[in-house]
Amino acid sequence: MVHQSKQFILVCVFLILSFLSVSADEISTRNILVLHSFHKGHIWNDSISKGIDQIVARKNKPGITTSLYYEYMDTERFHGSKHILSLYDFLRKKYSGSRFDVIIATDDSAFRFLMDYQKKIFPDTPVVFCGVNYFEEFEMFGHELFTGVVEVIDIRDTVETALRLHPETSKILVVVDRTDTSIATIKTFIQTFKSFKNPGMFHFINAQSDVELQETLESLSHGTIVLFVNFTVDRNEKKISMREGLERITKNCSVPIYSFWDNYLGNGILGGKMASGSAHGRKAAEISLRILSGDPISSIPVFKESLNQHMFDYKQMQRFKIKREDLPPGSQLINVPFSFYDTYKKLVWTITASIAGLSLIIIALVLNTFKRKRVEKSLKYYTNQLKLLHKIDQAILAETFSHKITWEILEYLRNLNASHWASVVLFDFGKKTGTLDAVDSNSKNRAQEGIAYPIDEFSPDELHKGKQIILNCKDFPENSFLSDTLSRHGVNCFTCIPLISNKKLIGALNLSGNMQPSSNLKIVDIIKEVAVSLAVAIQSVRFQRAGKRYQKELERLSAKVFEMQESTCRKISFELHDEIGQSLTAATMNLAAIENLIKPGVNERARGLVTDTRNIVNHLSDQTHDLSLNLWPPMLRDFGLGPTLRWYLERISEKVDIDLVFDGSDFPERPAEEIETALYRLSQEALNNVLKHANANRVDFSITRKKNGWIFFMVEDNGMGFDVETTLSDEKMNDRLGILGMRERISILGGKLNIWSAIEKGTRISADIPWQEKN
Amino acid sequence: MKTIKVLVAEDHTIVRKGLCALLYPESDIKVVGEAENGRQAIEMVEELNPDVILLDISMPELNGMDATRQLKKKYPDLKILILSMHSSKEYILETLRAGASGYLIKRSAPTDLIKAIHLAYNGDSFLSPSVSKKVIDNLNQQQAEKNTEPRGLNLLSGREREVLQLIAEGQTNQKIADQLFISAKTVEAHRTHIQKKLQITGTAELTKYAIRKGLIELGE
Repeated sequence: MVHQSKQFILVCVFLILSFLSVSADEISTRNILVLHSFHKGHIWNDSISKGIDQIVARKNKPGITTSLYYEYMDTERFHGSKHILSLYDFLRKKYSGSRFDVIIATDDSAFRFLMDYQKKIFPDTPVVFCGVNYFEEFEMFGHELFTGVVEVIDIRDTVETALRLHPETSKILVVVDRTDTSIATIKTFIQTFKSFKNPGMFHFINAQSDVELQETLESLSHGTIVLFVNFTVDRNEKKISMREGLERITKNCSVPIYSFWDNYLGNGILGGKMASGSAHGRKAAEISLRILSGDPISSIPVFKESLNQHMFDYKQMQRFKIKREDLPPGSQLINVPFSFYDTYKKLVWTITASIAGLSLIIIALVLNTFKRKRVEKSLKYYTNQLKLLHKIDQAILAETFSHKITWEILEYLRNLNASHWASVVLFDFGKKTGTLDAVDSNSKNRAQEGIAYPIDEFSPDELHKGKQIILNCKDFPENSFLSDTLSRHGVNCFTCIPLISNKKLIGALNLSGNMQPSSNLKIVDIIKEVAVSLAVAIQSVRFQRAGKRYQKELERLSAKVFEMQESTCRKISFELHDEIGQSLTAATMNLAAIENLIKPGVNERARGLVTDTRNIVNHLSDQTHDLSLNLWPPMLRDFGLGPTLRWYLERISEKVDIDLVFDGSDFPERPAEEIETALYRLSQEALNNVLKHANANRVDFSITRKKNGWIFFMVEDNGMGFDVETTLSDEKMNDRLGILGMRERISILGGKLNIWSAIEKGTRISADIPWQEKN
Repeated sequence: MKTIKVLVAEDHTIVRKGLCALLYPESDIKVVGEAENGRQAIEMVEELNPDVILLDISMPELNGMDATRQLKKKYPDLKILILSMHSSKEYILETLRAGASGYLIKRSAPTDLIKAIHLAYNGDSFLSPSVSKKVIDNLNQQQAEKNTEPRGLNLLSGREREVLQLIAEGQTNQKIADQLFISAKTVEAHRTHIQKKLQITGTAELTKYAIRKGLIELGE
């Protein structure tokens, strides 16, 4: 147990320690010293600083801070061993207590200084150099902590490019001075010469005073180019700042100047394959960071390849008329005037493409909209037309076609054809007239309606052929259709469309204006189609009217027939009863009187004959009476339907073995005689049918008054029944059963006959008749 | 022996003459006048004051039945004998109700007329044999019909008619009760009452009755 807990504690302590060490690591700082050869503000040095800053800032990891410190040796302004020594003294004292992780040395002076003093001032501190022109591999011996970037001058590339851009060049002037940089460059030149075809074109100018140099350059003429290396010291050992030297050279020089360092660019130099301070700075910083991350220095060889790039000044290119496309691929440009297009080429193209795309879509949409509108318009045409035609059809079917609809049609066609007057004229070929049936105009003046004109004014012979014709109101007699229309509506020309129904010309549709068939085919078609419907409608109205007239006539006739039948029955009945019956009665009485006159026993034979005769006459009288009652029972007049029916049923039940029951318990009043007669006849007919066909053993007759006051009469039997549909659709059966007659009788009274029957159940005939008071 | 004054009212001349011919041989019967229609008959009664009037039932202007009513009202002692071609009970009963003393079928006049006049004159009644049979039959029938004659809706109360209609429409007692806001028990009580009053039983019969009375509409 004890052993185990000890182990646990140890593990805990280890964990805590390791955690602490991680924390300590996390807050660690790395210090880099940058030792510049020149001063702050020196273009080249500042450019290197920029490059270092970029990389350090970019590669900064969280938890690790990399601090950069700068020292400037200022050797452009101060040089000589004295200055170096004092610098050494100063730095040694300054940094005796502190330590850097890496030192970056820029340019030859700083590199040489550290080669000499690093071990004393910054012992064990790795050095990364850059921008170094003078470099020999052997020098590294004994300096294991040194590595870096060597500055390469691309003379060959620069010169070749310059010659290509200026093919007429015959002379290259190389501006050098006595600085290390110049010497190193010249050294490189010498190595490169052999690769040029004509090394004689190179001329080196050095050791001139600034004024002399300026003059030399001013005097240069076409065919020469300048290759600027350095000019910071003149013949008289006079120091000139880099910027100043450059200015002197470029000020009045009329020929292109090339160089090798990007910090010269923008000050009159055309371009060249240039070394850039920032590129060196970046490379040096990368190497430093590798060292900081633990890569052994021995694994990082000195970088001797070119970091240079073709760079040009756009301003100078314009000056010397050099085209962008002539530059080597991948060339960088400065002073390019801001061109929105160039800067945002992709964006511009994207936007342009988008706009073009959108425009296409908009155009497509607009076209689509136009198309749709056109379709909608024609759809509207057809919809309106269909609506109108439908309305006409509906009106025909519902038999409600009227002038109002005709006016509506005319108004629609007027609007369609932009006419201000339209009419329908109907022809009467018998009377040879054309009557204006309907007129519609802007003024809604319908005064002309109903006026008949001679038919010839409408050219019916032309219309007969089914073609539309155009009438001009030019020469017309007084009081003619044309003169009336002209005066009332100001119409001077109109189109007549024939109204043809069933291949028969019945009239014409007239629309003001000259409707040319070619002008708008669609409208013409619509108008013609409407005309066809209109003709059918007008004709159907005529037929309907005629039909109604016939129907009324028929009703009147059938009522008349029933009336005549009834009155004939009654007349014959009266005749039989009053004339023949009474005469026979009188005869029996007379015979009785005669009988009385013959004394018994005197003439028995005569008496017997008289008695016989009286019996014969009596029998005859009975038969006459029966006949009369059968034709029409006077009881119907004297006592009404209930008693008559009861009597009638009793009479029948004496002859047949069927229960005949009448229920009139809810019918105390007497209606009009016509109703009583009709129902009596209905009962006779119905009972007749039952006796003939039904094989029933009970028939119920009932009459009552319903809540709505109507009379409800019913005859129902319990016989064999029949199939209503098949029987009633058979005209012969209908006739045989007298159903047509029954229906007619009831319908004359404004009532309705209902027939219900079911096989094996029976038949029910009922009538609903509106009440009519007895007159 | 007193002579019986008789007025003959008959529109058919030949019949009238025939009647007169029949009466002529009778010594105690005297035809005091002849009328051609009902109105004339009434006027002549006023004028001639007959004991017995022979009245044809169907005459123009005023028929026999109506004339009987008027005459009986004015001259209660006047004996009226109806002459008719009709042997149906409606005519017979109607005239007897109006106060006629007898009803003769014209055809049997030669045999019965004299007897009838005498009977009427003495305050008795006379009916032709065929007529008397009808009257007796009718009495019997009336007795029988009291039980079998269809009963009218007027026997039912308003509520009972409603219930009957709903039954005929095929509704259950509970549904009827819900509609009329009464209990199902009450509906059953109504049903019992209706059946008793109408002398019919069963829903089928009640439905038939309701149809006959037009309480429910019939489909074609």
